[in-house]
Amino acid sequence: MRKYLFSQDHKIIGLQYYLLALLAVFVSITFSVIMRLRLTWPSDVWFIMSKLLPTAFNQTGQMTPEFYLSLMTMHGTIMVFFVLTLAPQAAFGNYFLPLQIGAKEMAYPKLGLISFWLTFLSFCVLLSAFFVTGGAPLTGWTAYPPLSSIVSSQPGQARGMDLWLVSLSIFSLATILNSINFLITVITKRTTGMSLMRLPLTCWGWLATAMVSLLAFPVLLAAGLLLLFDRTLGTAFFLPSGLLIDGKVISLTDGLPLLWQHLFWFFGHPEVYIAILPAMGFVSHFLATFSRKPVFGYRSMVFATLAIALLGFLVWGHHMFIAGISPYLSMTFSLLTLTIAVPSAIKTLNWFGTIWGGKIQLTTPMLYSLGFISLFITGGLGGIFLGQSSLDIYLHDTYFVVGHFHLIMGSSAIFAIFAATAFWFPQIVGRQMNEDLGKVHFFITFLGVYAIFLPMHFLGIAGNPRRYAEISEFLYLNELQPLHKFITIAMLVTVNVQLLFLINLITSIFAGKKVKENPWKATTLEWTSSSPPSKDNATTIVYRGAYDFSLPGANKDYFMQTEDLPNNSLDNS
Amino acid sequence: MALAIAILIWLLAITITALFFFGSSFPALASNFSQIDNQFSLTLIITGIAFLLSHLLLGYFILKYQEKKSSIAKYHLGNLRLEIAYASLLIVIFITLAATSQNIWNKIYSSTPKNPLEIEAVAKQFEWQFRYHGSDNKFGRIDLTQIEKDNNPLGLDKNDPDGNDDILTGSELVVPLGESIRLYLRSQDVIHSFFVPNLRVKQDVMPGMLMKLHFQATKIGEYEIACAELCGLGHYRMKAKLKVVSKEDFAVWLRNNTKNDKN
Amino acid sequence: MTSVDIKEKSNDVTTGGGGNNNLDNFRGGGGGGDDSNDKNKTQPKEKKSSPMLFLLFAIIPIVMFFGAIIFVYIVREMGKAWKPISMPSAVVSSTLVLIISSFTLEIARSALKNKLLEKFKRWVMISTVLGIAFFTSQLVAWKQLMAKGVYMEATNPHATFFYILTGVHALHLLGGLLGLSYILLGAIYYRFTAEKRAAVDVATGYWHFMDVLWIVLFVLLFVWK
Repeated sequence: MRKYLFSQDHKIIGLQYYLLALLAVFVSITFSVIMRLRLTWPSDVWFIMSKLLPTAFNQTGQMTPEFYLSLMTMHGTIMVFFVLTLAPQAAFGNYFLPLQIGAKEMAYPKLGLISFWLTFLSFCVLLSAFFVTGGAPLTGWTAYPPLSSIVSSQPGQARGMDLWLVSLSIFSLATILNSINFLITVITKRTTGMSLMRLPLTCWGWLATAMVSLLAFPVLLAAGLLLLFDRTLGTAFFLPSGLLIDGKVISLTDGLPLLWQHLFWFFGHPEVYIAILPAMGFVSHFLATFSRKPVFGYRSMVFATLAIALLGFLVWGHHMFIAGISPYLSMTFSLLTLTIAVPSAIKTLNWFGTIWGGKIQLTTPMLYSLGFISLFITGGLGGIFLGQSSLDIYLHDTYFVVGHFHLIMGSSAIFAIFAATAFWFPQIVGRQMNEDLGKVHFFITFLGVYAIFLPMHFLGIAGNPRRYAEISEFLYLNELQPLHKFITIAMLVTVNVQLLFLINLITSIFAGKKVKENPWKATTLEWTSSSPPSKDNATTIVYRGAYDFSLPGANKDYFMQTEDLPNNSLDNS
Repeated sequence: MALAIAILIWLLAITITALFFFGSSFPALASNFSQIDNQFSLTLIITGIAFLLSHLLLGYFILKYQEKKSSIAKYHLGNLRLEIAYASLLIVIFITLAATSQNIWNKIYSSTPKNPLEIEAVAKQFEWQFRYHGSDNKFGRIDLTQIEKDNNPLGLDKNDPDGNDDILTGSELVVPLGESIRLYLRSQDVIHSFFVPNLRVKQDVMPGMLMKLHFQATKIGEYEIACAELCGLGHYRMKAKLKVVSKEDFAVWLRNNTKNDKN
Repeated sequence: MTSVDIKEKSNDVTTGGGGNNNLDNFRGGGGGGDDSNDKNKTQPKEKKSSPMLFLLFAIIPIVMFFGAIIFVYIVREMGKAWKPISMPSAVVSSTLVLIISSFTLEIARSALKNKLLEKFKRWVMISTVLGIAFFTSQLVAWKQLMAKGVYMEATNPHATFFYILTGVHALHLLGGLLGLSYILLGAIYYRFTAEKRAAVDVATGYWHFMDVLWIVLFVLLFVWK
């Protein structure tokens, strides 16, 4: 019990985070399946579901729109926080950061333990919102007031919304603690010789993400508390006067709903980078390993990572181009938003540079990484449209946005997680995941993701607003029904294919091919530990940078960071 | 394996590019904001080229540098000059895009046409209501406490004479062709967003604030008005009708409605 | 100890940074000073995590947290509904008490440095008492306001901010008080290991930060317009 459940070992904590994220992604995808079904076949009676969830259906046997919106809110919240924030950073970071920098443990093992259990608690609190009167909130993950600040504004805005806010406050606290742990670990726990410029890019990703989290999550915590006060203590930070809600006139003070949007997006936009920065680190790492080449432009990769982390705090206003902001703000945010595309594009260039002239081994982690590049480019180019204030007038809050962020933040990051899982599985378990199953899973998922999220761009161009429980009310939207149907079918196929991944994951634990140490011939420190690693990490001195592949004149194509001077001709040059 | 992936990526790239250029289009334009469409096309061309080139290159690299073919990988640490040149090129493109785009944004949001026709749009869960000021060119004051669902849906203050000739049209917005319209947007409860795809306009309606929106309708016809900001369970059915009519028809319509109101 | 640790790291950045994949690495690392020592060692040296660093990284999110609320405060202050409340007199005494407690704590710390353990114990105790006095004084301020009928309600944003900011600050200061009690207990039982001394540094640092934070809030609430 103490050994596994309340362990302070960073490896156990990392696995716990991974399992929590896996559970969360399962719950969240189930929600989205129900949403797509409701959206595509709104008037069909779902006999079994209506028996299971009688409150979610009206007399005619149709799922209520408020239940659709609750699912949507929860889908977004769970995906953003409990999957995209947890899996790349908390799960893989906790497991591999100490191993990769040659530390025996995290700087504060107890803090890791506390963070995980706080996160778990916040997940339970979030899900409990479904079981209170009125059900889960329906404001979307952005929770814009006044919809979110008035209890009587809608069903689901009662205790459900309170629980949502409490859950996110706990989550923020846990993430802040975890980030402190990460930062101090990187600063103080690096082994001898592991200078900052010798860190693997994965560590840079985790480090930058920890910095971003440390600055962003307190703002969410503050905003969430103020909103909670508005709801429970009768304050009016975000509540304007002159409202008529539920037949009652509310004439209070001049609270500003826009303030919430500023605070929320000051957190919310960096949150996007919290999901993608570690993913970028993973992909850089895997591309180098499987191209047998050093990372192209290591220093500029580090620089780009830090630039993205910094710029991420300066672009939040692009979520508010049509919310009544001034032209100067609009111009500033538009420019800064397009500026942040520059370091991202440099990273993309360097990924191409890394595989150029390489010796590409098409293992599953490599396939997922290549898939990541493709999805990242496609999603990123969509951002060029949305970053422009004038185009945002039309595209804002349409499916174009939904398609865009599902590609760049959702699918890209998930592909990086797939890659990381396949890559590090041998290190964790001592066995390899099945390559054939992995390849099939990659091909179908890669095509499936495009089939789901690319047509959403077309829906957006046709003017389909997001967060509609059904599209039957508008004539111009009715024409889009076939496209919606296509998306739903593609989604059902893709979701089911994820079972392959799950089966592969589970069976490989017991029946995967046994592998020698360092099966990928990687260079970084985690592969010097035995696999599966014993409780105590091996710590060794580091002599070289993280990506010494294919050195000219050497007798092998990689050198681990722990390897001292090799005896070869280069030594004399 | 490498060939399969390369072909997959190439096919995907070509299909997607083709779909974007030939398979997708905005709803028919019915306002003076054609610049948005042009800006979109410009951006589509730039991103389309970037998308196609990068994916063709990705497929090519996977094919060319597959393990079997290349004996040893190049030892190459990067090319700072290339990166700087590339970044500079991008910065130029992005600044151009941002500047032209911002120009359009400013035109849409900062234009103040002379003598526009003023109409008020009121948003509430889950409907749009429109109000014309009638012959006195003044909107009557609003007092939310006086709202009666059928007789006084907007809560016109009965003590204010300015409101006597105000015309309420329910959820139907009628505008004359080619004339400048100033729409005052107000919300009674939560945030809504006034969205007419054919007009290319979208404006959040923040409660507690009076938002303004200017446009000219350029094509006679009936269009749909939607809500683009989540406002509750009925968000998907918060709709209204926009009728663009000729100036003559509008004058007739206005006269008819004014009479009705006085009865 | 901390500063040395950090310096060493920053050194790493410049010296070890000869290029991650640079061929230089081949001939003996990044050419940095400490790298040349690497070869002589077979085992990496154990590193201690630094309590002061923890304090720094705890302060950053707290600053962001209060910064967000202060941002809302400043925006709301420009609004129409803003009616300034008069300052409850107890706030002045709490401010003075808190400032004094910072000085007494500093005296205690230097006493510990000079190994004057009795003196240290005495001054930590005085500081803790002053800390409790601050809480009491803040409570009195709340009472004073409530007696005037000023409550936390939507129509009075200034009062709302006063209650919330003092409340949240008190919550954070409670952490500092716990820290003080912890070192006080240590002092009573004469445990002055290196770890304890580090705890004294952290608790003092945190207390000073809370002190400065309160002065900022005080100025924001009652002085700055």
